[in-house]
Amino acid sequence: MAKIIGLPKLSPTMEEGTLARWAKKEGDAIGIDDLVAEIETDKATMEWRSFDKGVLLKVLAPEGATLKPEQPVAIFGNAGEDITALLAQVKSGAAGAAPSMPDAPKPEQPHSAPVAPGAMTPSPNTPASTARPSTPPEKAPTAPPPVVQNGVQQVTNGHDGRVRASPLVRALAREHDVDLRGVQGTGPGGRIIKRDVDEVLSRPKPAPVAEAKAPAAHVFVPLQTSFERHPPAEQPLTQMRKTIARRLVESKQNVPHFYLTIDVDADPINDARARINAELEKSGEKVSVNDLLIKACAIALRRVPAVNRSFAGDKILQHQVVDISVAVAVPDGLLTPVVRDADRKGVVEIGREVRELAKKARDKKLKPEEMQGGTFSISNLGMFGIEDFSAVINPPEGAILAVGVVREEPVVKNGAVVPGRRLRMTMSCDHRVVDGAVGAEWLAALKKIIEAPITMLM
Amino acid sequence: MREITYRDALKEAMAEEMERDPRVFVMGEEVGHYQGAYKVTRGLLDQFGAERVIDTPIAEAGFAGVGVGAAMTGLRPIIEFMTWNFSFVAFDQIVNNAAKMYQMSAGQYPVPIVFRGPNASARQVGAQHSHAVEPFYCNVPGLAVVYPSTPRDAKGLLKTSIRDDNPVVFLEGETLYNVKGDVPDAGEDETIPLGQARVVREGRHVTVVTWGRPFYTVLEVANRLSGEGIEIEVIDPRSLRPLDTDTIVQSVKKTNRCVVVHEHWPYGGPGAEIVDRVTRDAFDYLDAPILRATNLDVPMPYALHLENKVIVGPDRIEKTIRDVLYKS
Repeated sequence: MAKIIGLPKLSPTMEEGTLARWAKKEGDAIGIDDLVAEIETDKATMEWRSFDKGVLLKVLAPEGATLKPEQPVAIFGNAGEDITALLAQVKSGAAGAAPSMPDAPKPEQPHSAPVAPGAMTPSPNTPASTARPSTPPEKAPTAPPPVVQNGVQQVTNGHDGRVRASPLVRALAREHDVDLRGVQGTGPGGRIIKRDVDEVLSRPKPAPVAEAKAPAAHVFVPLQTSFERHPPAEQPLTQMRKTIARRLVESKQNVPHFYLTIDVDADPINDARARINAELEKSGEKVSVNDLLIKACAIALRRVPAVNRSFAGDKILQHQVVDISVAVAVPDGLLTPVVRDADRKGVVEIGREVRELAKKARDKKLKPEEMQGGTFSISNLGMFGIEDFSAVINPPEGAILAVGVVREEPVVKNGAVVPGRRLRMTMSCDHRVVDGAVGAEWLAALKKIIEAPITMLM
Repeated sequence: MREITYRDALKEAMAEEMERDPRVFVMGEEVGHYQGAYKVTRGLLDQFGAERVIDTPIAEAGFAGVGVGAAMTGLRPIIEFMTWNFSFVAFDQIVNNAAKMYQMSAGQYPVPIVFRGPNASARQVGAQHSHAVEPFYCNVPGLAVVYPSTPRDAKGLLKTSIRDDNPVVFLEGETLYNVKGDVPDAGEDETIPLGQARVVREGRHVTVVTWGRPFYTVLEVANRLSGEGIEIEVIDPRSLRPLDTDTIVQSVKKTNRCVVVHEHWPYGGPGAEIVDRVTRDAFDYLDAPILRATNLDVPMPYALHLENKVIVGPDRIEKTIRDVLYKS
């Protein structure tokens, strides 16, 4: 039986996606796990593979269209099936369901709820009562009215302008202060059901974020005169740019940052790197100072575990693993792929992994699971000659280390001024989990390791 | 305890109450000399004589009306309908007289009468003999509607109904007469109050409320799904009016899901009443819409293969349960 297919939610944080490319055209047969289309999400261009078998009867969203999860994108069914009724259904919810094209004004949300995809529609084969039929055709249960939190109406997870959730889920959301807008529903038509909320509640809870304020762009007041003389060129926000704007504003506004800066002797780690690379010469591989620093941070996090923590609303989460997020610049933003269990990997393996992840990041091929769930971040701008800077914490992590350039300068060693190399690092801490003394203790431990790399073996 | 049939449990209830109270008598078609169309009154004529076990002509409006009059003047009649389908001939007597008399006479005339007989589908008896009538009578204030599923409940509830000072519509599953089950020994005088549901089977994943013929189908499905790790809580309301909402709601608060399974047509009736009450009292505990598995919305066909499609069977019940569990 033909059905309307909604835009799949390809990552937990995906609030909208852009249809980058249809891999199938109308009339094509589709098997389970066939590539249907590529969807550009906030983090990457993801492959949408089919869960269903059938024929792509109708494409409802053109390439380049930006939609919210569950908005209708296609009709699947059997070859030659009549889809007039489904098309009418899509049309009736057209305002909410129609993809908003780039730079088209956003349509108003409708007040009528179309039948959800996958909902039962009366089949022509329903046995007709010989008497007057008394049962109305079954419809998908209408979603409850939208929830308003802090005066802000919830955004949709269905394509009918509403968050669709069971009453139990709404009660649980009130009880546990869960924002249902971020929850992916696995019930019919994307309905959020108890198992979805249980899954969310079982995750480490990020620091509770107050109702997200509009990013600065929304309150931008232009200098009228300059605009009249030289109107600026407008660039539409990419999904990634929107996410960066939202998450960093949330972090800076809600996470109490404080900063600790330390200078370390960079000679030993540079020497260590040179020796390792000499060993590697035949294999053609290389490690960078950054690879060694990732390893050093991981060891320091094992030695001072109080930094390897997250603030989770009503509790602190002490992470049992050391997963280091590495900030990678990509053409239109930045991503943070994660090196898992960095404390248990050798520097060569870490280097290999970082390069692989960075390439994937630049090619937009990173999977959500490859860039989520880090416990600590490193951001290095040394290659640009930056001496030191303060990085913004990547919630729900408790800290981030900003690494500058290795400077050649005169230093005092054994009472004499000699040429030396120095590296300055600034740690940003979430004061809710990392106090000043704890952060300082960790930085001291890190300095010790960097200045005597052999101690990584301890 | 001993094991007896649902049929004999009903006969025992009547015999014990007729022993206990000389005002109780049985009246209906074939209840005496023929020993009952379904042999429920077997032996009562010999035991109590023709004055208290009265064969009537085929005239439901007549003997139901005589029964109402007898009850108003102090007797306690048990009126047997050969099948509840025929009660429609006496509908005026049941609904307009029996149910309303107490209130219309300002309490001067209680009507302590029990109307009883087989209800709902059997096997190939056609549209006019397969009717589940509970929605009609459940709609009437002044009537109690009782529908036991097991021999023990049949006996205990019938004794309570006979002792009740108000009219009771006592529905017996036509296919249940031969069902055997444990019943307290004769003379133990166990009565079961109206309006008290029974949790027949404990479970944690979904609450299934059911009565009559599908009761046994639900238990069969529950046992099968238990092998998949799906634990179904089965509740038998036993009386549909008054209805024990609390037991059902408490269960739904635990399982977050509810399915109602019944033979009556899907439009309205006690099945829909249960959905309404659970929605109202357990709204914040529901993780799925409350669904019903029912007979199809058509007059019962005579042809066996069609009849099997119409009656709510294990497949429809299982599918409905999987639907509310989001496991379809």
